[in-house]
Amino acid sequence: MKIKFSKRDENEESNSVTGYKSDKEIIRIAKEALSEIIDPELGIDIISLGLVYDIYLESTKVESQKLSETTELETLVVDMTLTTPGCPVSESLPSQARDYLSEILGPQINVKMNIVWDPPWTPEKMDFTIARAMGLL
Amino acid sequence: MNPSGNFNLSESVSVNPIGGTATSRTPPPHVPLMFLFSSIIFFGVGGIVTFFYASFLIHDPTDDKSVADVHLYLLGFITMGILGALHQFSPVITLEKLYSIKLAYFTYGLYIIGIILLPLGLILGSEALTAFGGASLGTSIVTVIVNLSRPLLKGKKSVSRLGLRISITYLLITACFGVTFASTHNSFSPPTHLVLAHASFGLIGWAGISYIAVSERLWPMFLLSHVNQAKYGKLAIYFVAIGELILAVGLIISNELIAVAGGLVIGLGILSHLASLLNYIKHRHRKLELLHGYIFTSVICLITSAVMGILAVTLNISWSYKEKLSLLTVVFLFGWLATALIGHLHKIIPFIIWGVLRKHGVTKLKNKKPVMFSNLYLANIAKLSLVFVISSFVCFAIGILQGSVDIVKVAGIFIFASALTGFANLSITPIVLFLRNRGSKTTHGFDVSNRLPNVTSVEKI
Repeated sequence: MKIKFSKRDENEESNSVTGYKSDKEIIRIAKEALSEIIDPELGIDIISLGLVYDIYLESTKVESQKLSETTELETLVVDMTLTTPGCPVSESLPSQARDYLSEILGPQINVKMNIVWDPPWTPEKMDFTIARAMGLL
Repeated sequence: MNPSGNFNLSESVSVNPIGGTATSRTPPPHVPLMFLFSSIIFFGVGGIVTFFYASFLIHDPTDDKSVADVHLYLLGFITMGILGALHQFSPVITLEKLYSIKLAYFTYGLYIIGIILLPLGLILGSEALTAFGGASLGTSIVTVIVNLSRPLLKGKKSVSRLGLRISITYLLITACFGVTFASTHNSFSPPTHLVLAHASFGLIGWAGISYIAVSERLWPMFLLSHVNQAKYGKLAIYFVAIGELILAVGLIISNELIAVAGGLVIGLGILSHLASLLNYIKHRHRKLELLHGYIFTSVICLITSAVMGILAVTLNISWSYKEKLSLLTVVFLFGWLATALIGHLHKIIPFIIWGVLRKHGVTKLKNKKPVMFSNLYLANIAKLSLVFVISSFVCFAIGILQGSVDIVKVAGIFIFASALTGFANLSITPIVLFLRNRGSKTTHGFDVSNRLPNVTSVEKI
């Protein structure tokens, strides 16, 4: 598992915006949720496949003109790649992951999926034990 | 999309009314599916026509009934299948959406009308039907070129885009020949060398290059094989494209030397294509599976076709044997594309349907395991379809060599059986899954009932 967590993960204090215990807790839940997203072609979850590069939280301030007030919004950002650019599931897998994360984390956290191609995915990024068990590598 | 080529999903996702969430680039799933399933149907219809008009195929391949059958196979099956794949893949490959979804319906409608009327006109000897069918197909091809113009002109550069640009150009040339022949059918009998040029444009320039281009995208994915550059694929596309041009010029001006030179360049393209396949297999990270059975069979057909072509040109034999070898060259070239297409349909159709099923809440099997692409058809039936396809081309070869109408009739039966099992296999399993799981309480395709307690147990302030 090669997810690099953002510096904010070190913040163990309660997050007043999301209501969760800590940023680290949110990321742990997100990672756990992403490990349930299975690549329907290979039968391996996207975390074990090494498709998720990074998970972090971003704070953004949203100004409402109507109410003339500023609200803080937490966004969970997932940097994710796919096995091949132009992969047929390139449309569905990230959407699926985003929908599930939104469902799990609740409305107080916005979810953003960044599809990244740099660095490109290689089979070496897979979890070796799981990949072998699935007949890959 | 940002300058590094990455894109943010929250900006690019839209809700697709039929197929669930998808980016705005891909068409609704029923668009490629209507082309793909129709192509299998026309493969079966071609088999039926082969059964009834086998004697014409053996004794007079230029007879209208033979021509009708050939068009059912090449336009109804191969071209329609490729068009289905292109409607799905060109936006994904190039990151540019189609020009218009409505135009895709228009293309499909005109194409269906054309591919029914053209063979019917040829079989019934009706000039009006033939001309109308040809015009309808020609117009349909123009509309598909317009629709694909955005992804192929503006889209991201790749070997696949290069190949598809060339193949679409050859499709247009093929259509020009075809419409001319269809509109002057009864008043003008085109000379054989022009018919052969038309056939080579369609079979090699359009269908062959399209397949090579798309396979350069699909093979790394299906084999989980990552090679740095698709150099062999690029070479294959260039060689086949240039070779086809030389061959067609040779055929049009009836110059055997130029035609043979074109054939040799195409041969280099075929070798590059095979080298590309070997390269992907060498670097693969997946075990060989059913699709590879189809691909290897198609490669055998391609090699057999090349050998037959070489023998037809080089052997000092009677004209009737040369004609048989030439016929086998075309039959096995069709075998290459047909086998590969059916194999890839067993990959492409399940993944499109998978998205549709998810949208309707079908995410788990009876044993509570998540639905995979491989669960959307029965592997044994798919193997049976492969056996039928192989048997049909073996029968074609024996039937043509022995001049046996009965054996060619059996080939037609095998083709029909292959289409029937393929269609049933790819459609019934998803329908059964849908009926079994409809109304299941899931959100976004997930059963979150087990997850939510874990989340709510997280301490909140």
